[in-house]
Amino acid sequence: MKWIYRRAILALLSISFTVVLTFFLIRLMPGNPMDYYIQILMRSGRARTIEEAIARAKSLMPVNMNDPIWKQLLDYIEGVLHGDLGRSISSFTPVSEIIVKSLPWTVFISSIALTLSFTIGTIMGLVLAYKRGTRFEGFSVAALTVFGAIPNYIMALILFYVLTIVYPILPMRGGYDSLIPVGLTFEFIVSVMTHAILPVASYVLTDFAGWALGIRAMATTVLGEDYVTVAKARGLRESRIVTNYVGRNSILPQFTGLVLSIGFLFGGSPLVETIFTYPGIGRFFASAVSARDYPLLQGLFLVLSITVISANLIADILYTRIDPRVKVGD
Amino acid sequence: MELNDIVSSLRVLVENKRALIGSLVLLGFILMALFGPMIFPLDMNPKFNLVYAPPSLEHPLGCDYIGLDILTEIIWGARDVLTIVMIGGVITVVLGSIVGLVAGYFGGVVDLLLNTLVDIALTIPGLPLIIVLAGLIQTRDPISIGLILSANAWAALARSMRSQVLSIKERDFIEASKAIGIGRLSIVFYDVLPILMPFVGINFLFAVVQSLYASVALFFIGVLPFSTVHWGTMLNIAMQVSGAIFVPYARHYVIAPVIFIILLQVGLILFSYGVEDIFNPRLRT
Repeated sequence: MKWIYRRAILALLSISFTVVLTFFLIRLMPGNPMDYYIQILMRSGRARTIEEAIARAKSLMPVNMNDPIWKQLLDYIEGVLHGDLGRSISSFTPVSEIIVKSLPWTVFISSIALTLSFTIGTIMGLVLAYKRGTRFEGFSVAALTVFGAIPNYIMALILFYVLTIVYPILPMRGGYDSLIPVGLTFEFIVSVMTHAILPVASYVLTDFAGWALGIRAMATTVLGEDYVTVAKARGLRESRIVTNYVGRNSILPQFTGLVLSIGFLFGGSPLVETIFTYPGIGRFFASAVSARDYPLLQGLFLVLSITVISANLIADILYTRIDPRVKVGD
Repeated sequence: MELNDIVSSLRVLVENKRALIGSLVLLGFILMALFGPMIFPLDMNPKFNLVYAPPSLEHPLGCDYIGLDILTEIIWGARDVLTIVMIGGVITVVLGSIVGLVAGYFGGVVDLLLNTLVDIALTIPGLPLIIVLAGLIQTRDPISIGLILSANAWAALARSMRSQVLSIKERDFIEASKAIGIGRLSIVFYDVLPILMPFVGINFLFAVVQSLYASVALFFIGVLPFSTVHWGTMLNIAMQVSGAIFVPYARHYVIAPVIFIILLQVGLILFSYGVEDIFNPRLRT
């Protein structure tokens, strides 16, 4: 399996590229990052003297800014390999701690969202292929096109507005009610679930349409295949043809899409999570950008890219096992 | 293009409902962006007696958090929004097409290098990369914003362009051009590219759709420096700056940009699907 090695080398290349990219990103910043930190420390009163500020700023940076650039790069890579990503300048917590705390929340909502939109979309798409040519199909396709066109963060804004402000039915912010003690109690689980409803709905309502339209197009093509005509000639029931003959054959290409969505599981959407103040990785990402918290931004982007790249690699390998017709590496 | 061709493509456009609705919506937005600012001058002086004034004859969409007319802001915003997405779309398509054409036609080491670059660009998560770049570069210049928006969007087009070129490369007329000694670059740009123009055109529309998604997100999240009347900025102000979203009598200020963003996005998508139907008759059902 030569292509697996090729694919793995490529993933490694991509990861090294992002490591170097994130290292240089901080240098693109206008002005000297060190001076910037010192300024922040002095202004916020977290350091009383300039010497203290300089010392603290140095400890925040993952590398020593006075070293020659190649040594800084090597130090940075060494730090990354040891899981040391520096500290956030807004909260002073290690970046790795923030990532470990926030990643599970993102994976939690985005995996539910992905499962729901894939299932609902696939079922709807097959139903539409079954009802092809009817007025119901025409209307649904138009509605799906509109839903699919709405950006997920706009949907999130609408849901936030309607269901937490105009009709305050669902919780507005956070991953759970902070008044309920954290633990495996019924109350806590219910709280986590109700807080997840709106972010999940924002993803599902905008994503399911794409899945539905995709499988509908595929199923319409499969319906023209000879073996479907033969099945019809044998007098099989239409519903059986749709599920067993058409469904199975049109679902495979959907997996390509599913594979490509794996990255989304870890990244989530910075905007949707920010709108609901959800404690996931996307929200920290957005707040790191607006607070100009470069070490945090650097670390989050790096971890995000590494997870996405590795997930895609694994998915690619799995995919060839599912569909033997796929030849990767052409 | 002959007059007949124009008439027949217009007829196809009218017959295709999606393309028709989409193109009407887009035409509306383009007219609004081109001529709107001439008819509705932008007055940035706060009028505190008009803060969150409800829609009226004088102010059809009401007023914002400092008493400015929302309709005027939307109209001026349309110009910002459209300029940025157009530039984003053009840069994405030009980069993607050139890389795809060169990689596909030249093959060999060039192809290997470009293909690896494409693979790397495809695996790095898109929106986060765009947000990081926008946060670091902090630019107001529309062309720089366009470059940021196409940070890795070009790669997908380069990939599909390359495989299109690979299939065209073997055709007879290319052989003929080679035989009479036309240079490789000339063949790529005069023989191969024209055949792929419809494909490039459709991908331009898709790139514009992506740019709209990402650019509104950037302004909404507040990463790009203040462009006062961009619809994304209006949402950012409503949500994070003025808190209008929590004020019951300021509803119109939140709803107006949301509706226009959705309208433009739907128009663009309908138009691009419609155009795809027209150029890809096999998909017509």
